Amino acid sequence: MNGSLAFEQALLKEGVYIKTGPYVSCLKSPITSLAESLLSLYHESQISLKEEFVDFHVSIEYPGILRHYFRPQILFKFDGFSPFKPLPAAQVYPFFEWGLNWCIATNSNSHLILHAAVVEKNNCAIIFPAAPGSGKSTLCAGLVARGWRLLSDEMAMIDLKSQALTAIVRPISLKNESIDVIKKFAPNFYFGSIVHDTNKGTVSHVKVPSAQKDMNKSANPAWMVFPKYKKNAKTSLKETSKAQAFLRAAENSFNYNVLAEAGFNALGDVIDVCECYDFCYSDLDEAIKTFDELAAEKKN
Amino acid sequence: MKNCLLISLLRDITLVKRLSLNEWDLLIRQARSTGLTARLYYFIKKNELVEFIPAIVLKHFISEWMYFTKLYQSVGWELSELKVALEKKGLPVLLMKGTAYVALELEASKGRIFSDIDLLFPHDSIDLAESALMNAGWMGTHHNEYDRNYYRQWMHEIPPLRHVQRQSVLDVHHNILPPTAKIKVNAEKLLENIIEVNGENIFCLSPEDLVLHSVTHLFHEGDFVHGLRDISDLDLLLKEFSVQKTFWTKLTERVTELNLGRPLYYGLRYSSFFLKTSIPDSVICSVNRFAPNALMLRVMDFVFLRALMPDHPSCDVRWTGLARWLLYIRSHWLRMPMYLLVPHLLRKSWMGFVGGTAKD
Amino acid sequence: MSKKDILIRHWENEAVVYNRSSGDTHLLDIDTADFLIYYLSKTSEERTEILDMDRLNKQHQSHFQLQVLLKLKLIRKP
Repeated sequence: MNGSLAFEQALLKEGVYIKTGPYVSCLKSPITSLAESLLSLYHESQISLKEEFVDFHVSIEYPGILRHYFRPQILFKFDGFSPFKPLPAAQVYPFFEWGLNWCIATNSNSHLILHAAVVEKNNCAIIFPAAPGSGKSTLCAGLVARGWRLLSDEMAMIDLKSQALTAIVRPISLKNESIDVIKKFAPNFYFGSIVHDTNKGTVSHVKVPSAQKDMNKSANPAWMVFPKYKKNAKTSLKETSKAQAFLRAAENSFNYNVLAEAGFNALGDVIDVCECYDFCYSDLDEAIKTFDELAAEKKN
Repeated sequence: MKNCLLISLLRDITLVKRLSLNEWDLLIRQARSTGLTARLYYFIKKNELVEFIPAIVLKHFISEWMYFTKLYQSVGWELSELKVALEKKGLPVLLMKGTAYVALELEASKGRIFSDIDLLFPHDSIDLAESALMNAGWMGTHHNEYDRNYYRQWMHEIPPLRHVQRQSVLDVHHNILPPTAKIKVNAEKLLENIIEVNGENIFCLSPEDLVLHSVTHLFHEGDFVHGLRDISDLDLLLKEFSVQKTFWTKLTERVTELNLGRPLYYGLRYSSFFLKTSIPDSVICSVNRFAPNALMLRVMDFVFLRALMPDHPSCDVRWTGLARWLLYIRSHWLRMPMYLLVPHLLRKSWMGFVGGTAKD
Repeated sequence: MSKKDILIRHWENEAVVYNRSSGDTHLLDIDTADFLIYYLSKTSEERTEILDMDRLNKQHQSHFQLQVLLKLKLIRKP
């Protein structure tokens, strides 16, 4: 791996390459702070200066001369197309990650994609479909801090034939109170800069500690858990109706409708093999204990 | 003319056997910018060349293909709902463009990314049709007075109708060109030649008229982002219809009847240029009389040969931007005389400035 | 419409049904799902008979199920 100066220069000119699971992105940008963020939040094996085939050619640019200097704004582009309105320049790093989410979500109809976090232990994965305010990301980060492997904090990417979950390892996105909670819970985690006043509030990204050799390994789904963070609530794991779980998962999917029959069958197969639960919690340690116990039971 | 990888492949799909990963990368980007990824995949599958697509590239084709099959399913459902809605008022379902290609199971429907559903009605049935469709959940989309009057007075269609639940959009036409257009089309003649689909009480324009509508639409359009895709549709229509021995004769007779010689001239010229569409010499001779004068032809070649290329930096040459802009202006000029165009454009830019909406 | 126009999965006393024509997915209780399969296995004449019987006898338990299926467009009047 070349020095960070070479990386910064590449970012300005030919672009830098970020490899996340099955996807390779090429990013170009005049905003050099991105270089440092990428190098510190992604693993060495995920960054390169040359790839032959790129899935997503993206750029983050200034929309015009004026907005370069006066209340600077930036624009995310996917091969010249801007799916989003410009954002304040201070939000450059989250904008890259949100942009990449969009690229993956809109170009992955080869798989069923649920808006969910996925973590794995003993080759059994939990899918946490993500309703807003569910505390999915906090739970996900907490589990990763206590030995679970992250496949993704945003997307469950399900193989249509085998139901296997693909790993797309990227920095975990945390918001608002969650940031302090995880900073205390996992003092060894590396946090990127904290960005205020975004559409989602205060946001920061966390580098995922992971064993390099396992990073891109797929996993089989064993549990589908609908989390709900509720202050002072008792930890509770309750089985939920599978048919209801099916519908709730479909509602939390980026492309269930597009996939038509194939989506119905794939989701049906996933629900067949998963134990489905509603999970309510307020204490992160207890939450993790619950899932550790589930994993241990499965092992035996 | 710059070599374009996508066009090379559309002309000769077997080239997939020899592409490098870099070239696959470029091909996907060009195809995506023009909306031809699913169409390209269709050709690859049809010619049993899928094994030559590298695994890392294949997911993009499959992704677009799934999207296409979903749209295809949606068109089928919309058609069955339309039948139910229109039969209530004794109105026929008369299809044009993409929806017609689906109903007739034409090659031109394969890998096509459908958007609005185009319907044709006799002019005096338009109000009844609108009411039947609104009863079934398709609501008007243009709510300001100016836009509604604009459509009713000057256009060959009513404002698009959008279904409240399914969000499908219907373009309800009583002709294929506006009454203000420089070319006048007799809609009665279109209705005289319609064909029924498989005894299902669904109708389409005749093959010749489908071709003429395709070229008329394309060469009156202002936005050529998907121009090459429309040329591909035209190429497939011509290939499929020309299997019938009488097709070319009927087409050359019909084009005079409908007064659409100029658009057909351009259609055949550019389809042949870009995709090497095979056109009999006799047809070329016959259609040559609709050509513009030599100077005008040079100007049209200048703009169309640029604007019809994929809208991607890898395909841009000098003046591509200018060419696209000129065609945008031209499309308005073709549809509206000056005394209407100027106030309309002024009004449109004012609405844009104060944040309203206007047609186009 | 016939049985091949739908896909069904069921768990305990609920089912999810996919309508291959409309692309819609529905959650049904197992009895309504069973009634759907029953109805779709009938010929056109038999279906008309079922609907006629339903009109005459709205107290029958299948009346509600029929109304739900008609509303969801999983079945249509022949």
